Amino acid sequence: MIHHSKEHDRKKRKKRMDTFWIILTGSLVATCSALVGCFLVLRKMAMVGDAISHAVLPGIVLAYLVAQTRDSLPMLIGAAIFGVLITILIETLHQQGKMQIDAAIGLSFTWLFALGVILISVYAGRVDLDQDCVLYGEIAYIPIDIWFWNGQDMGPKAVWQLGGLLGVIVLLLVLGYKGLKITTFDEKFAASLGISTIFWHYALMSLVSFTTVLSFESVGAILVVAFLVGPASTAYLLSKRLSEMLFLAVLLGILAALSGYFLATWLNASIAGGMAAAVGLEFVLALIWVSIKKKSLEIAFEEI
Amino acid sequence: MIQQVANPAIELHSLTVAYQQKPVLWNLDYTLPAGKLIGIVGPNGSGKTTMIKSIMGLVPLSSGYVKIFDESLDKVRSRVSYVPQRGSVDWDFPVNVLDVVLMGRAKPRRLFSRYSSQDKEIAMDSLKKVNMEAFVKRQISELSGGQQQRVFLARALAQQADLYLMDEPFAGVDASTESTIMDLLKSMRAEGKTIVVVHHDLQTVNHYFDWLVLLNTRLIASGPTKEVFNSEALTQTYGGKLNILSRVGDLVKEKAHPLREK
Amino acid sequence: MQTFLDFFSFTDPNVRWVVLGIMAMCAGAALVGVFAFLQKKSLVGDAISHAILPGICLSFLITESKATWALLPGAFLTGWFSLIAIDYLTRHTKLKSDSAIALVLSVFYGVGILLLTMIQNMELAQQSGLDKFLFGKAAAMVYEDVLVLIGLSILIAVVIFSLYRPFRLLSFNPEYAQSLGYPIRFLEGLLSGLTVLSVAIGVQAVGVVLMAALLITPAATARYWTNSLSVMLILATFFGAFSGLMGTYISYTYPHMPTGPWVVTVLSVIAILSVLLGRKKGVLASQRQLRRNGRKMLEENLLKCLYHLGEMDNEWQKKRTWAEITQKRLFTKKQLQRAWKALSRKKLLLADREGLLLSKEGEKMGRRITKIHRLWELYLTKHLHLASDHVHEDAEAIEHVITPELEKELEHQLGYPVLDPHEEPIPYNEDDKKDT
Ligand SMILES: Nc1ncnc2c1ncn2[C@@H]1O[C@H](COP(=O)(O)OP(=O)(O)OP(=O)(O)O)[C@@H](O)[C@H]1O
Ligand SMILES: [Mg+2]
Repeated sequence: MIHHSKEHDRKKRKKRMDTFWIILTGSLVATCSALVGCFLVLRKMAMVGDAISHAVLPGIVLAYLVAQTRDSLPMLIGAAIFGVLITILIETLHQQGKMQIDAAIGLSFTWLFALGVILISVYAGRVDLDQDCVLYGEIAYIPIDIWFWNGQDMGPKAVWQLGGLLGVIVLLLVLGYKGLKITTFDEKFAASLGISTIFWHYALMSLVSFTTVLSFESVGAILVVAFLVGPASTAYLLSKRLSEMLFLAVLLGILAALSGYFLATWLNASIAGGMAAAVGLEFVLALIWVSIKKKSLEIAFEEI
Repeated sequence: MIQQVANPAIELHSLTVAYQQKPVLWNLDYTLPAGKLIGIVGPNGSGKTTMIKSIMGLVPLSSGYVKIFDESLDKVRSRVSYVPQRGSVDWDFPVNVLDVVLMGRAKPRRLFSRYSSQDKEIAMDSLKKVNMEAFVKRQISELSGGQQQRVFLARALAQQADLYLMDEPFAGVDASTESTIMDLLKSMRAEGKTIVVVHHDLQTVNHYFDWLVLLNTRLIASGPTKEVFNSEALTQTYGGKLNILSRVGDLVKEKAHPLREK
Repeated sequence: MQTFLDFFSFTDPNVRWVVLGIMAMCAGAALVGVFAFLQKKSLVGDAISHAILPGICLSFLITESKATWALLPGAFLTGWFSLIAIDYLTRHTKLKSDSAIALVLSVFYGVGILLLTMIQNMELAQQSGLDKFLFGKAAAMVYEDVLVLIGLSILIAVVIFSLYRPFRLLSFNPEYAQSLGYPIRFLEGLLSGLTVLSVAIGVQAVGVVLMAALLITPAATARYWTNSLSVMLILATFFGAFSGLMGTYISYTYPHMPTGPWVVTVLSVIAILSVLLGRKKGVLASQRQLRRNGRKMLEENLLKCLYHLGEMDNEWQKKRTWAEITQKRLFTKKQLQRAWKALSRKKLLLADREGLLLSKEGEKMGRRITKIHRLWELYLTKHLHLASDHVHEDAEAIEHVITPELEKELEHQLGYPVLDPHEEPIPYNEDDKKDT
């Protein structure tokens, strides 16, 4: 009897630990994406972010094939290459090929994504990746893939990787806050000061690629767009200053990760899907809040 | 009439600019005097914005070159300030008035360090000069058109340059704000600054500017306002495009023909 | 080879139906895609296709059936709703259109995934296979599905065909269409409805993620071959249907290959080839034009040079030595060789070891270029108020593009002048003045 309850306890603790890791991973994905996403939204490049998140797929598959591991370094390299590749492809089609920009984006990412899916089917036996993972990730399995260091259990690998990425993003934001802000607000003016707008553009695009690839395992290639664009858009509606927007976006992202988890367990459905739905819910609530505020302001004005 | 000056603030030499092969500025060749208030006038789509941008090195040139204070732009960048057209930025952007003005204090070399307290003083000072000190913490989306324009001006003032290029600073501005801005520009001129202003209101051209440039794809006149601001020049400026010139422009675009031999 | 024959003989009724269905669906999507492309709304199609997923799941929850007719209403509804949401967000909030599209796309898709996985875990009968909508599963389509596909594609084609003129006006000049009294909002709504419809039926075959390609890519490809809307519609339809055919063929030959991604890949390859080879805006066509320009300039410069040499002693029918020519104008050896060979083929000059001799016709052309050069210099000084020492460079380039009509007009407007800004004579050919 006693023995049984001990076993039960252990299982319960393990389950609670898993929940913790899953929510932490979701929050890290949300935080990284929110920070990068704010700049995508402000630069009117949300769809380019969407394109990059699709285009990293063939990069990831090829990295698997070449390196034969699920290690993140080859994956990062593969994804970064394809992330930059698609921005170049879009630019080339638009500039040299004179294709209108929306069509150039649409053509490029569908093509690269299709190639990725084909690669997965061709090497189905050799690539430890399935289509579901591509579409909505496997955040529930994150706690299984543990990083051992000196024989010690250090927690899930993904948490460490995302934590590292967050460090890089925060570092770049702290150092480059001024540059990112000026080039995002008024690119021509920044260029007139002699600031290299290209540098900041590609710095941001690389961060987007890295974020997508590291979020890939947890939430898949498409739902990361919800994290990139959703909290940032909600924060954009609500904030008056850039620092406020960044802070709010992170907060909203983490909140969405948390509530999305419980929504998904309640419905017995995909956790990543639940998180994306929560992102949408937050946006709708913010929208209602903003329009009520606007209405009441208008009424107040009319009374005057 | 095109009058050239010695020791110019700006010199354009055979400047031709094309968008997607189609020339929108054709062979501009003029010099502008330093220490004057200079107006640029021409109809919509005549290339005024493009000209300012090409002086600031923001569009590729098909031919010719620009010199500022007898140097290439890169050598004198810190002495030049550019005020874009108001519509060129997203006014919903989450920044407040002071943030925008501080951008005038950014330098490529000091991009990774924070703004100093001196920078902040200069920014506040510039805001005072345009009567906007009461709005320091206001988000820019909550400003009227005239106030937005004054924020842009304050940002330019914060650059403490010698040459100012302003693209339609009076667009969407009421009469009293316009005269405040004008007084400011005149006091800047008194300090020896050169101010180039793209302007649309022909009524006020005579009072505002010492020097006038009339533009419509090609240069029509450049000289002291009194000498060039006459009905003949205006007819040329506003009387539509030159038929042959614009047809040659179309041909150049259609055939993707170069505008210079090499 | 055997599979090739098996496939293209269409004896297998399964193959026949699937191929027909996919081709009809691709063609329908390409048709509406052309209008979305022209209105610069291509990416909205991407949002619609993602937004269809939750609709499919809702339909399934209600009807518990996977048949096309059962899933279509829900798909259409959420697809349509996503359009309204994007429109509302861009019009009434500070969100810009790119964020609005990306937000709607990803959130609807997220809700769809939530519902889909929920259904999968509910252990309903029938549920397996619903996830095929993510990537599409052409081979799993049955006869009834195909009938719906074909019927709706025909409907799309009929509507577009019968409202061709208003749709054309709407895409190129909506203000004008409105001033003519066309019901703009109705037409726009109809076009959106057709787009949603074609996307809703298309996701069966290629899945929600790749559906956008079937809308965008055929239209973008067709644009490289034509400027006319009707031809563009025909070409886009053809590209769409052809890719559908090839995609199905490939997955028929290699059964583990997915159909949708191959359709998209075939389409994209055609698109890239068109970007390179296209007759209207293609990269190769532009480069050919550049080379042609270069050749024309080189040849005309040699004629002009020989004409200038003739001006020195008023003797144009005289042989000029190689030394004289290169002294007058800097030609590299290669340039000179290319130019004289081309010109002697056109009988504009005679060449031998010592030098070159203009023919009568060549003399005329040399005179024409010289004339245009000097006329243009005069034009620049007169109308662009340029100093006479700043006009030569411009004229060196422009002299090669002036057409005979422009040449006439230039002469006429300047009043047949005799001297250019450098006081050099402007030469005329015999028949120049007679024409007027
Ligand atoms: N990025 C661009 N791409 C293509 N064409 C352009 C671009 N920017 C401007 N043009 C074209 O170049 C011409 C000159 O434009 P510009 O903006 O310089 O005119 P402007 O004199 O400033 O007009 P406005 O008074 O309306 O501000 C116009 O015909 C315009 O359509
Ligand atoms: Mg302008």
